[in-house]
Amino acid sequence: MWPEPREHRAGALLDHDSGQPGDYLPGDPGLWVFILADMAMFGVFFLIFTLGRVGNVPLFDASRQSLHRPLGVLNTLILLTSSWLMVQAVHAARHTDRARTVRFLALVILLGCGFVVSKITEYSAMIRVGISIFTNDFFMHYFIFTGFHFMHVLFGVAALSVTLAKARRDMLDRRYRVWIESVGCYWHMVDLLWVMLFAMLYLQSAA
Amino acid sequence: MTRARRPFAVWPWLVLVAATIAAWLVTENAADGRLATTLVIVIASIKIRMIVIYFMEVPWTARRWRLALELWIGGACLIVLGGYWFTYI
Repeated sequence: MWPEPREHRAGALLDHDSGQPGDYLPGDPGLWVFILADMAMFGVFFLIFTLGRVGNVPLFDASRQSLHRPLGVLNTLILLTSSWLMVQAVHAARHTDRARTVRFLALVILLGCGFVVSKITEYSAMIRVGISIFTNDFFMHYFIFTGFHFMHVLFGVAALSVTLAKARRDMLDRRYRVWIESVGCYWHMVDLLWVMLFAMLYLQSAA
Repeated sequence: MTRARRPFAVWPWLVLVAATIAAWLVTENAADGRLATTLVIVIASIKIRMIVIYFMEVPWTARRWRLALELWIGGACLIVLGGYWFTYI
């Protein structure tokens, strides 16, 4: 079993100004194994995309111009902000502050749904002008990688909804804290994966 | 019940937002695409490291978790940036 964090250690976690780092893992250890495996898979995605670009630089650089950068920026800001609000929700749950836990989780879910709507809007606009997964290699990579990430967001929103329901219904005890920390770490992973996807797909420039 | 008083980790969030907008502006106004791309990928890697440190609280975990995540960040940056520069050498 993972050692139970002592209260002063939990306090140190909240403030990052005291306490000893080393033996506290937010959430469930099994979830962390999943997170690392998932991140490794996305690492392979980055490699596949990079090799694809090496094989056809002009096509990749020209196709990238069709992406809607402002929407990509908006999606990044949405996920970064939702991630930060998730930190607040975990922070509130550690203090057994039910009202704030529920409120912050609701905001995280709202922003998660905002990402979903924004991404569907972007996909729809692309399909309307005739861009699809079959257009060329760049868009095949684009739709597969962002689509896979999109599924992660959908799963995250579902998990967050369960976390919100539990916050309303259950005791905010140690078990709940492990649960919300696990969901929080998953949501942060969704966020950080998008950060690299966004930079790689939208922001690279031709020489 | 205790009240979770002040908002937590505000400045990392502000830095992340500012870095996102900065990376976008760099791309939009770049005179040299290679320099812009290098900056953008490095900024993305720094942002990911900030998420790992300030949001996922990885410095408080056992060293192996942090090491795994740091290696992933370095590896992802190397793959994307290395692949990009490989086409211009």
